[in-house]
Amino acid sequence: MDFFHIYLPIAGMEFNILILLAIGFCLGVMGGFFGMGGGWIVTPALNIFGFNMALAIGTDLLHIYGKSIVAVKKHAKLGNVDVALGLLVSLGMMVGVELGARIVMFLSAKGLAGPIIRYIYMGLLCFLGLYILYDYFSATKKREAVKVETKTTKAGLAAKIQHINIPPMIYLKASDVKVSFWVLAIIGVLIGIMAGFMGVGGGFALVPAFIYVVGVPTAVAVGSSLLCCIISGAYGGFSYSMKGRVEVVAAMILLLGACIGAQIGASAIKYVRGYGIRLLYGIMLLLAAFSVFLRQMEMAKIAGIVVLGAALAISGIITLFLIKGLITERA
Amino acid sequence: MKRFSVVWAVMCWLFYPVVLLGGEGGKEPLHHIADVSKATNFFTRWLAQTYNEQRLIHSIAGIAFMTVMGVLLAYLTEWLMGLLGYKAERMEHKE
Repeated sequence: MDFFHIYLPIAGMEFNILILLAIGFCLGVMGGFFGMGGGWIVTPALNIFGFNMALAIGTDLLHIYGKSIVAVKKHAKLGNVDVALGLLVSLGMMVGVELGARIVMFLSAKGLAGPIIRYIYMGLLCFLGLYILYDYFSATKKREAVKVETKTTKAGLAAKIQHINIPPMIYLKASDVKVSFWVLAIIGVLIGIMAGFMGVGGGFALVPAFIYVVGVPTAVAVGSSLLCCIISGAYGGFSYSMKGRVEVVAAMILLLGACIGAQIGASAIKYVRGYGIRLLYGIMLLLAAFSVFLRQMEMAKIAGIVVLGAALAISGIITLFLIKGLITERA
Repeated sequence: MKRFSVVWAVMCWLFYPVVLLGGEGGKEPLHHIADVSKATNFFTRWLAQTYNEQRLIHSIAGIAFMTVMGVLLAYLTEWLMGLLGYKAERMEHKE
């Protein structure tokens, strides 16, 4: 099996290409299917398989940059990208990413980056996993009622934010919204810190912030958040690279796997009905949190099997749905 | 929303002991030197060399490689999916 091993010069280790491809593939399938980037899986997965934490974050950010280019091309074609919104928020994000990266390097020098970020990931993955399970188990009626209630509250929040009249006021043509530049800058800085600190694109925070805080239409929020991910990913990748914490070869292989997976995930949407698959996603996130815990307890091999096994299982199920759907359609 | 505010508040308080729980891990050198001799091909050898000697070139090259790869893959995947009869923009989410 040496054929599949590649020497990663910056990480200073031999790595199995198939593992990198598998991580990228699973990430792509889940991203394409659930519409979430899934950067929160890559950093802990790379760390579990032997990358130090700062290197895992830097590599993840660079791969997010490449992946966002692929995704934003599709959204741009559909007219879903508000360039002004994306560029202005990205200004704040770059500041935030740099702050996050500096915190990581500070913790790295103290030997604390690995454990602290792992514990934070455990919290985040558990929260997301439990939230998805809660969402799944809630009765549909109750869910609808909550949606109506929160929609009213959040639309009110966006209206209040738009009334903050601190110059310069920016008119976002594609979204038909007028908002203070400082609101966009603060959103960018806060989400940028998280992106730079944890190696995530930040789409899962940007999209709700655009919709509920700024008042941008959903489709434009998704497309514009991807533009932010391109710029912040490029800046984050560059910044971490200057700090010597990016493994370019690994990022390229991850990107390849993710692009293949994303097409499968996006195509499977057509054939998978029902809410059941979200239950599996929630369980997968909880297993990912458990694997990070195992890594923290120095059980790296078992942790690797758990995280990759869980991700491959859910990606496999989605792929099977796609194949089954294709066969049924062509029969 | 109130319930989630409580969850977040609890989580924020959990992160404090986390710092203490984390303890001193293995300190890592901030200036790492890539081992060029172990690089098996021209590309990885070049990456390792520029990493050691010209970090700026190495960083710009990393971004450039990902840009080219991203753009190529964007067109390639779109073309391949088009061949299979899939247009992502025409798809509907059925959930």
